[in-house]
Amino acid sequence: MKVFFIHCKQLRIEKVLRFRCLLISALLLGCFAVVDGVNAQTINQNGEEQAVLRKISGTVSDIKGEPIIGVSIVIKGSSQGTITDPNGNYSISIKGNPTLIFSSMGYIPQEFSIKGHSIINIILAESVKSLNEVVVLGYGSVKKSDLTGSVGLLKSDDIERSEATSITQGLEGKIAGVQVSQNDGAPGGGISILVRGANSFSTSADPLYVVDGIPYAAPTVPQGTSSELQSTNPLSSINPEDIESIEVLKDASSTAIYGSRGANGVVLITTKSGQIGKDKIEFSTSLGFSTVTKKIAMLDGYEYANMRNEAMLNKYYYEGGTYTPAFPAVGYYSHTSLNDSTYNPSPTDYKNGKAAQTNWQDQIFRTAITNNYNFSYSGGNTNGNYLISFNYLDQDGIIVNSGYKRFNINSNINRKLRPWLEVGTNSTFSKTTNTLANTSTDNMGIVYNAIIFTPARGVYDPQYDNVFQPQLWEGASNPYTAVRNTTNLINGLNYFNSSYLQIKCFDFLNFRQNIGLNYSISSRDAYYPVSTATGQSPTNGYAIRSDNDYNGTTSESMLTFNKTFAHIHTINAVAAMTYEYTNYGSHYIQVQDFPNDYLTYNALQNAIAIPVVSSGRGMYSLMSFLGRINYNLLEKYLFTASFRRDGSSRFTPENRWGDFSSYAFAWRASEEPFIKNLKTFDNLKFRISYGSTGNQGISPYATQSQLGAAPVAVNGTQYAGYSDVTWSGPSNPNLKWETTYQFDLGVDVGFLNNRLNLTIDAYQKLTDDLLQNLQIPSSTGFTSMESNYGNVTNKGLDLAINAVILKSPISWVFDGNISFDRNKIGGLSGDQFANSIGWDMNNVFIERNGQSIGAIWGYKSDGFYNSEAAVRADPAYANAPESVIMGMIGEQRFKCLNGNPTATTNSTDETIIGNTCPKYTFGITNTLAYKSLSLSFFFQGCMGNDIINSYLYRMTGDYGFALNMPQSVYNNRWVPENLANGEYSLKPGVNAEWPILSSSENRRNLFSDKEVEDGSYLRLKNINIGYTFNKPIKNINSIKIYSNISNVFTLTKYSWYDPEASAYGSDPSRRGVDLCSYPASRTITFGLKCEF
Amino acid sequence: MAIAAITLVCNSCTSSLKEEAYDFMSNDMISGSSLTNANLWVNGCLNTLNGGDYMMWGSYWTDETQDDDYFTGVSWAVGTIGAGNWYGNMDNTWDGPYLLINNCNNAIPEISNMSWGNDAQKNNCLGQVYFLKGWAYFCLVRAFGAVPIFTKGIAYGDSFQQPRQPVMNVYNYAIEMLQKADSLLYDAKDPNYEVGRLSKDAARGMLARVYLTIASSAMPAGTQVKVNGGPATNALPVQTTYNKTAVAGVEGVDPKTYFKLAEEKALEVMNNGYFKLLPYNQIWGNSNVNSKEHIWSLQAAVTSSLQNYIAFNFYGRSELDATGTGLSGGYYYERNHWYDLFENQDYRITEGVPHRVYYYGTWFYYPLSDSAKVRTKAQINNDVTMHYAGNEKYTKGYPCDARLTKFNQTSSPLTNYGDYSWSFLRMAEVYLTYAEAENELNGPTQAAQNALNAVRQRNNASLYPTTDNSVVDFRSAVLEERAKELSIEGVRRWDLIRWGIYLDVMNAIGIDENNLVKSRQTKHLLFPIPLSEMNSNKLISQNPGW
Repeated sequence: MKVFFIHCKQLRIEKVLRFRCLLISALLLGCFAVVDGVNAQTINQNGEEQAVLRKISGTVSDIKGEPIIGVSIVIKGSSQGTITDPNGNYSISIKGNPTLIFSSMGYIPQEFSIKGHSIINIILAESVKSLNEVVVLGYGSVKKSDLTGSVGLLKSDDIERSEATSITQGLEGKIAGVQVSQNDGAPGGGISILVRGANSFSTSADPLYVVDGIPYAAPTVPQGTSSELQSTNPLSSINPEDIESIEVLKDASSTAIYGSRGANGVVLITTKSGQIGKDKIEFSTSLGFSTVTKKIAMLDGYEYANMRNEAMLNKYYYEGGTYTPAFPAVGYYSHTSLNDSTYNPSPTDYKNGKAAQTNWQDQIFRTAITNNYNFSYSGGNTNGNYLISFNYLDQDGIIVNSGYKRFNINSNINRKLRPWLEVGTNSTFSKTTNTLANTSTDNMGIVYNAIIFTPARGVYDPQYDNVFQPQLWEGASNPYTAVRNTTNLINGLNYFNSSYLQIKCFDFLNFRQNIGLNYSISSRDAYYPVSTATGQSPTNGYAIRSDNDYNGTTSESMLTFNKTFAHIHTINAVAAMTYEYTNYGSHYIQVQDFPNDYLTYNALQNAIAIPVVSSGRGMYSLMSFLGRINYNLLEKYLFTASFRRDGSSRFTPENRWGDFSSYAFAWRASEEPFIKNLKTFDNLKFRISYGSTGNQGISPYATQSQLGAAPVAVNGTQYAGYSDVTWSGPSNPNLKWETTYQFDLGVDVGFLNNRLNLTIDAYQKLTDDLLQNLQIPSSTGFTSMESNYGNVTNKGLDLAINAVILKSPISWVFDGNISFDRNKIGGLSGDQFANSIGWDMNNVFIERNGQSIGAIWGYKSDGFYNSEAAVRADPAYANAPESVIMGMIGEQRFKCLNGNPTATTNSTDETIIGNTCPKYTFGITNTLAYKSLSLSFFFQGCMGNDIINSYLYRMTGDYGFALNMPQSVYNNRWVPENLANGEYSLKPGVNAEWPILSSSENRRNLFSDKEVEDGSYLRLKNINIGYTFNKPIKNINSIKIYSNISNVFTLTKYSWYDPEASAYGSDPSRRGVDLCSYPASRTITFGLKCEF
Repeated sequence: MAIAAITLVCNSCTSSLKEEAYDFMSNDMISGSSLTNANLWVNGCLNTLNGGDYMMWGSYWTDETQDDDYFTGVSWAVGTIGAGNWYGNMDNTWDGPYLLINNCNNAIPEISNMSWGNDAQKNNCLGQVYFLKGWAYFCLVRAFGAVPIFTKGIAYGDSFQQPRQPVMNVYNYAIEMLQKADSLLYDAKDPNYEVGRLSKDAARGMLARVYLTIASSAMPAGTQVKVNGGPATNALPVQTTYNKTAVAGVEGVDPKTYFKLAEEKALEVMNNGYFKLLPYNQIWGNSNVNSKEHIWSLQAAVTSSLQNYIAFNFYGRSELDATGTGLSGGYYYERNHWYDLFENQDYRITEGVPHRVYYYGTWFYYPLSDSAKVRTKAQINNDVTMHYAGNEKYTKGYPCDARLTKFNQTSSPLTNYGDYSWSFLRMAEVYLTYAEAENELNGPTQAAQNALNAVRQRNNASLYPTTDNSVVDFRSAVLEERAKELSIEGVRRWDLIRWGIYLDVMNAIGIDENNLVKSRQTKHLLFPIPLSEMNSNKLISQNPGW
């Protein structure tokens, strides 16, 4: 073997070396363990030969007397055991008088000392919220009662009840301290999760996802047109029905074991595996109907025509020129040429039906149908288990020509090959197709398009729609044709595998080797024909074919130690070494100028224009050594310490390695005699923890300077050239980890026979050395640089309550949680701003010491200039020319905050005008059951947060031009006095909320508190009602029928579609932006679930 | 064994965690000594000019052209910079030169460290980079006044935050760089000179421009300049005499010294004889790109990263195509008063401005004074094949405007993006620089008049009259000739500024015929420093009034 090492070293081929060495180290540890394991087995066998065999039998039933199938009966201290048959009967051969352990999923395990009995009948109690529930932690698991950290838990039932099509959706509002927000309402659309507030404003706030022990990631959405921001949900490729449980690790005691990636919390997902007992076949299907939850009341044709005329008139009145109404007072036919018979309608023609009008929202929204099929079979015995499942989901979006499809195969196989050797593999293959509508965009999104497009025309107008002709100077196109003619597909292929080999070296020592593979490719096929704004002449069709691939490999070698000494000291320890290697790449091809629209992206070579081509590739790797020790004294005092040392390729060798550790102590006070004597608490546990975690969430290669292609054409001849890639900033070799120090204080209380359970956690987090894009003077040639700079403090409180209000005959379980988080920025030397929103809303989010992430920066509105005198009275316009003064009448006035009233409003008048951080978020689930009937309803919401409504910003800029506007804006516009008694009179100027309508081009569009709205809401997220038929016919175990309604109603002041919209979801510095997002939908689902 | 395993693992750590780059270049990949590598650095600097901060989307050409007395355009297209609303809209005029400077600061040490046995080649490479750096500082100082100087660049140790340097320090640094370029670059007559690249003449011409700027700025307050212009409501421009106000930053500078330097450098270029004044019909058009009229032009191509939006915005596309909608683009043009500066036969309006344009179903004509020609279906320009059809219409403003045919110079006239080769420095400017400097030094001598007339003559304009020949008249004539000859080439605003008449000339117009606000305040003498710089550079202060 030594020779082999040397040989290996001599190879000097880095890649080979890297993997081979890892493999060797794993094998080595394994061999070491195998050798010991075999020895241990031999000793055991020797011992067994000395005793005499006898038989024990009996029945296991539940409290109601119903037999329980598949209860595992194990002789304590051995691996020998059996299970109950379908009638709950068992028999087992024993020697001496050992103790039997009876256990089954969902029941409290029981131990029974035989003491000469030969028939033992056992009744197992159901373990609803049992303290003996096992909680999965990173690199191991513990009994819930032994938990020292703060962990949120969600079981499969809870996920299924929400009828979510993705796991992350199912998490929303269910766990205290976990804030889930949808970036976009699109099917399969991106979702971001924030655990206990944002730690940082530059690095992603997404937690680490770990599926069956292996970190899970997916490639980003392949590049589309420059303005597209839609995101997809990486976890949507996993079928929620395959999930057994989700644990969210919140405090440092539990996350520190994930070291450099644990700072944002860790979401552990455990998939289902087969249960001991009879082979089970399950089939479920559901059918859903979705509609948009809300439409915006826009102007109709008549109002729109009047609005345009009023705008023209105002411009003429105040700024001079000629008044030409957009819509004539009396309709007429124009005869500009022989064949022209265009009718020019008057406003009233839209009222009397002489001219066509369209509500474009009706043209792009639809009732969408969702079909979901699941099929699984599973089973197992003491030697192993299996589960194979198939899922097909076909979800149409409520916007025409959008939707999501998923095909998924999952198999989970575990087998005990020898009493000391166990292997298992769990793989998921999925194929997904996202059909995207153009939403979440700063440009001509389809929803925005439908909002602003002129209602004063028919759905199809041959004059404009035969070939593309923008009808608004913004380039908006007919929403009806735009949404139907565009193809924009994201196809995902995803393979995920987590496999292991486990060797029992001694009773107290296990070796486990995990191997994870995560391979996915996501590709985009997009085509914009000539009838769309993007593909119009002279572009003549615009096609994109792009893909991103992601290839992750994980190897983990672990030793687990578990032993009780002298009956009172229990030590559970784990030591591991892990290595992860990720490689990713992308391709992008964009061509335009097609002879026709037939072949689209399928035959790019048909395009005439020179293609735009690019590709990229990168890697990163992470090596870690970790350990954790749990010490349990007298089942009362629990100590945990963990340590992890991480090395990351993203940093230079000097700063590469980081150490993270945590310490926790828990006191199970309810086990103390003096508390027991109170007879009040069934459970009382105090927890305290402190530890550090890291964040390496910067883009790879930030420590290396990058040169990009910069060619020239000298007198027509092209030559290559290179210059700094400026967007990546100057390289910073001093980059290091961002570190989060977290302190957590928690208490778990159970009263009234555990019918009332309460968990309260208070925490304080300090994230220091923030990895962020520091704005640097542009005179350096760059605008920003990745650096460690500043800090963020989060303080908060998580509260969760579980109450069994009624037990029988009607059971009613109440689950509630509420989370408070306050965050504060510190350590900056000056103000910074988050990236712009879209292409034109700059410096909207300020990062300032003492403020929280999400503070909104802008102007404060201050009424309107109601008259010429009012404009003249403003020192800023004292010397302005006549035309400027007249143009300001009826315009928005802004507060002068810079102490210089003679200067026109400028950036020094800006201030903090809102905050997108909620004061608190909450979720309430009520689950009721009566015999076989179940009902649950789930409320969820947040309070005290603001939303930036980019629709309003964009509209006010051009308002009065040609864009349609909401009735709420129109009805509250500023109306000049001279018109107040005329046709347009609605509101006198003094009560106005929005400025004068004017087709003037001189309006300055300033971002102000007018475009910031209260985003608080309370939402009845879903109602679920189900009925289960037990053994309705022979060979069918059960049939459950159910119905579910999601997004039943929402109470909110937010004026637009959905208060949950957050276009830049995973960017913590820009949350709470409604960027013409895909609206939320209300879905009614009918489902059927059979078990054979 | 376990120890062996751990040792092994640790040994492999370094390689396991090595960050391997696949898709970008690093400095060491192109630091080897060779002409090829040196040129990669030079080209990287030159490419900056094509980029978004300069030419691609229009920052250089919007910021440098829109703010003068003769410029106008469609109000929505020019209503911010053209109307003096600069705050937040002039950022690229700051960012662009500094980006170029950073690229030059990276290239200079890399090329300097090379040696491949041909010093002439190496010098020529360095000369190009020095030229660009000098030019960038010149652009900065005349736009922003006192600005920070990065001598080495941040990658080579310069601090991120730099204070402003006095105006003359920046001018002197720019001059130092251009002088280096002058000494290092190939003479254009050298057989190794590559057409389209910078030459010794370019460095000299640019030095002449810098010297002239300093000299005229330093002229005492009260110096008179006559300008044809005035309120836009006047049908024709009216001549007004303006008194120069002092230009900040050049106090104590002797104008004669710099006029002398400007004259010398201009003369060097004229005497070298490689670049020369060409007949009018050989200056513009796609076949004349990099002709001997053009000392330094943007090198564009229809490749995505090298194309620009210039021809589309200044001239428009499909002008004569009556099958489609006709004209689109062409939003920037000259005012009627500019058109009226010319004699009727001057090629710069007969050929230089389109007189007939198709737009959404109708043919239009320009200017209004052509109405008689339209009625008589007269010949347009000198082109016997082109006649008015008689049914052309006139409307105030777009599309009836003085767009310039010089911008119809792209190999792809039907697309919005094209390969327009912006002319940074032309021979005509060198002649007019000579004329201006000679007049200030020795009065309107024959030599000064010859230089002015050389430009007038080739445009079919009458010769400058020898009567009525004061220093003031000649000075004014040269400035007007520059406005006519170098129209929308990024010259006029700076002429008004350096002669201290900018505010008076602009305010005399008020609001022009296209509703563009021409009135200006003192703050408009300098551009505002971008907010991003203000926020992140503790050592800088904003220009007055912004």
